[in-house]
Amino acid sequence: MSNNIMSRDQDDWYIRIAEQWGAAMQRIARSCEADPDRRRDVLQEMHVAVWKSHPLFDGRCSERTWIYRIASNVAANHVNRERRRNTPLVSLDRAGDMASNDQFQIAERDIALQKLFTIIDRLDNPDRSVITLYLEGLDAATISDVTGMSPGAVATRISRIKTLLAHHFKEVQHD
Amino acid sequence: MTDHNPIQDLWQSQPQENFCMSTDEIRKRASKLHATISARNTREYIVGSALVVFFAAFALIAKSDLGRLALLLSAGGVAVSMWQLHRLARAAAGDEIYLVTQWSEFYRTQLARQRDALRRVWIWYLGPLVPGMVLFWIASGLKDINAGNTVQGLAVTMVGLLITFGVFLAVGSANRKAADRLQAEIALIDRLIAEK
Repeated sequence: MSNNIMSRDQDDWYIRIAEQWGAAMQRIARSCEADPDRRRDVLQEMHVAVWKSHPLFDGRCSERTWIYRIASNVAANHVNRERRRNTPLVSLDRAGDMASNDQFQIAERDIALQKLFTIIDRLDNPDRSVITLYLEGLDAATISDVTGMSPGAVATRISRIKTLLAHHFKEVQHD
Repeated sequence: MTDHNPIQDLWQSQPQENFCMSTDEIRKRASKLHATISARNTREYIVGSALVVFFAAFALIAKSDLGRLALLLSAGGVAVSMWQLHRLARAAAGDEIYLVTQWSEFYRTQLARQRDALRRVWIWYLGPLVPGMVLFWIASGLKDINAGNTVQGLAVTMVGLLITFGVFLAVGSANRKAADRLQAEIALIDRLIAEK
């Protein structure tokens, strides 16, 4: 009986969370996998992890932090699994050199998004995690809480991310 | 708060795909994941067990005591490697709980586990196979030596041992390099946690 109640609580909680944070989970899944079928697998993995996490959620952090932690960890896990097949990953310090033949002159939305994915795809796991959370609109303190990186490390990375984005997306910045 | 950036708008206004999972689907997927892992482990155990049986069966019909011992040691070596694989798989399964921890702890734990497995490859994978392989080549050489072909026997043993150890050293070295790369990543994470 109590198991049923717990299970119903878990289901209700998950349904609410999926409705509220489903879009964010989709974006994070997209940041780590370009192939639609495999991305769907990653997304399903995130949803399963969120559902399973319900008994562990004790409210010591916000639901937002909790969900972003799970989504970031599933994404990192996926990148870690797949990286043997990927091209070498680079840190933000070297990311400015990427796509040097293409200065991203085209401002169309989907092309700009593709370029953004290309940049994210080449980043190593720590930087990928920070840039994704930054793009999600999380502040430095929350990114620090999600990732466990020190506030100083997050601030440094956000600063580099802004420089990197400014370098690659001049025309979008000026819109 | 971080300053607002137009690229954040671009990112957050991405078109969403039609995705929905019912809680029944979630349950199915959760149990399917366990079933997939179990099936993969079962396949590995079956292949390993077949190898153990293979070596043990040949040990029964081996003509020399040394050859029998070599095959039995090989069977034992495979069994030890399988047991160690089983332990590593169980440790990896425990990572699930870390999904709710901070990214750095989760990722560091994963990398450290992989690094340790690679660093200890001589203990859990290559090492257990060494005694059987060494004895196998000695027994192979002795067969020729006992038949009066001393040079051929010594050559078989030496070449066999050299090739075996060459392969083992190459595997060990590749694993050590991979472990060093993981250690560099772990050091980076540690810096990111501690950075002022």
